[in-house]
Amino acid sequence: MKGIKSYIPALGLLVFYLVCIQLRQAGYIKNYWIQILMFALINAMVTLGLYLINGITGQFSIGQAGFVSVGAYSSGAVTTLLFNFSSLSAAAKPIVFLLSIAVAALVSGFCGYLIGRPSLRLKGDYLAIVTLAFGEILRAIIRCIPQVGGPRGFTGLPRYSTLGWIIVFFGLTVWFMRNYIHSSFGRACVSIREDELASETMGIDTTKYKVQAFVIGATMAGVAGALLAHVLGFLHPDQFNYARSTDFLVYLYAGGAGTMSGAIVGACVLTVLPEMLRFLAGWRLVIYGLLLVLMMLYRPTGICGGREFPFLVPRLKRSPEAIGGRHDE
Amino acid sequence: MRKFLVVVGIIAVFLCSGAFAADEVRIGIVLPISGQAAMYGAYCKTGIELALKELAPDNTITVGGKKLPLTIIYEDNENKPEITANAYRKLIDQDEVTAIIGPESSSTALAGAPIAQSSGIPVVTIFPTNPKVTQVGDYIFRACFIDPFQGAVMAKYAYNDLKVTKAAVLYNNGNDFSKGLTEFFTKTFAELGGKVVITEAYGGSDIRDFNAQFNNIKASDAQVLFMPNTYFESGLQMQQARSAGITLPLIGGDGWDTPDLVTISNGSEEGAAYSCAFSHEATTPQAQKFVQAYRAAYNDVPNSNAVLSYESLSIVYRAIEAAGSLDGAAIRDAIAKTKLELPSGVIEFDSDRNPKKPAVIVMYKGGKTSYVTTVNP
Repeated sequence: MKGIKSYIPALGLLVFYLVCIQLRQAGYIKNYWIQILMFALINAMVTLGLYLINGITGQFSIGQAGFVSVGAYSSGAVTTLLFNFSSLSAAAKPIVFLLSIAVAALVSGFCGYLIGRPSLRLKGDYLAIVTLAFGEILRAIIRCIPQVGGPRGFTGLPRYSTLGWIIVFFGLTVWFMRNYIHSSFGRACVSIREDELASETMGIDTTKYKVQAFVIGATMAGVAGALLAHVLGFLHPDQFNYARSTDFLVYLYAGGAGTMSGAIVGACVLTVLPEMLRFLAGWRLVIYGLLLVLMMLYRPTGICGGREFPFLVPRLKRSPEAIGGRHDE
Repeated sequence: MRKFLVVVGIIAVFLCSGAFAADEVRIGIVLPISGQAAMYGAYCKTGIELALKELAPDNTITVGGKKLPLTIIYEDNENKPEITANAYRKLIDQDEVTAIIGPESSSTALAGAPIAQSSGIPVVTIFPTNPKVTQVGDYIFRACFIDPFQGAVMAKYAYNDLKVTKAAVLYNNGNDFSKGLTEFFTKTFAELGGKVVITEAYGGSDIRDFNAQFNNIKASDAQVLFMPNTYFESGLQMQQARSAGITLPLIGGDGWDTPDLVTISNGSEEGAAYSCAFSHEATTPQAQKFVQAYRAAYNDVPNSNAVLSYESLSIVYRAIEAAGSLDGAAIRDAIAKTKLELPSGVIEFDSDRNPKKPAVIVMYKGGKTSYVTTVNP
């Protein structure tokens, strides 16, 4: 019984996907909304990565868009430059696509490692500046590579990401994050956030966990970037500028930086909201900004207010043997 | 009672939206209304509004002998690729537009174009100069000319108007725009019967000293010097060329098309000529009519964005009329067959859906630009 219960979130995601597809086929929802949903889930993945770095480990990274760009460009290079995607057989396409996502994860994870190293020495504002600069350097490097279009943008990527692919990777990301945060690794990260010195005294390898948080956060952003590249079919270096990194920070803090639910809900709501406000024409972003200000004033803990969806908290299996001293009672 | 009213209201809305959707022509306009490029979006909007006032003062369009109401739907793209993709999707799926105009930059046009192409909606983009934009597919057109075209135009100007056969080129090999213009200038100039006798390059826009290049150029027997570089580099180059004793006529591309150039070149720009999309001093009746109408409406001279938007809407409007139906493929074919007399000249599309339209040659005189001639493609 318990085994089935743990599959409920995954089944819920499957049902959600099937409902979306059915509704689209029946004509109730347009491709427009499917596309917004795709962007929302991709943004949620990036924000989850940022949540691990900023929310859980307490480091201040403001260069998340840089990791997204690395993932997007490296996966695009695999599908477009390494393999000629459109000429592949239907059976080979998913394999190459998955390969490109794996490459994106590796490359952006490596970038996360590079930026994670200085975080050992730097704290707070100084770390923020380093991450910001790192994101800008990545953008400047992309501009210098003519193979991926340089300053003119990378064109001709296959538009292969579908809602199905994105939901699968979103589900994996959430599953991984949930288990990570509620494991001893996650606990160690939280202890670093609360008091680095104290956690070090307790024997926690703070260096290891901080680098780990950066690598995982960057990997998630990279995978999301790979999916994004194959939704848009086009990439431009300026798409991943500092302002974009700020967007992800806003998603995280507006949703509530303390919980996974906050990261997911924040990213989804703030991706969908500007599209829902399109009827306001020129006033659209004014109202959007106003809503953000009001929300931060009246609900500073974010949309989710520090609460977590129940399925995002794993139930710990507690057997009497596992908890020492229980048999003495 | 209240529930009843709500139900009636909802049904009424559905009925109205049904009536709204039937027999109406909707054209979607995607522009940066907010964000850093909002200024360009505002210029574009003036051009669209002016075209609309002239073509459809009563907001109607005649399609296949029937007068149909015309609705223009503006969507903001914040000058971002992702938001442009959303705006395109909304216009195509939700508003079911017949055609789309915009956006005005290459990076956003390239994000929207594949969506329109796969949905079979014709698009006229306003100001993306990247040749790749129209290569997305046969539904994608552009109103502006592409960078290589300018190189060809200047070659024709040098050969036909300046009547020279030997040219020198100084270009920035770290810049796409500069490289493209040089390549096509050299090619066209050779085809006409001239010869580029010396090509000097420099790497990157941080170079400040061009004397080595100018010494080589001075030693050659070139009769004209082509410098398709950005205004800042060109300003310095003009000064250094003159002080190096080079008296050749200087020509360039629309990188020079800004009043800021004069502040750097400091007088040495006198007599230098360049190509651009439109001059408000152009003498054709269409151009003068447009400039006057624009002045009357906005008390300002139209810039390139305004002209190109005006022309985009005119092209789409006439194509829908000519197609006689709201079918995407029919309108696409009608746009491809466009032959219209517009402010910047007679416009036709080539097989790559780039406009074959004349460029204007403008010359610096006394620190100000003045219209010289129009060069046809």
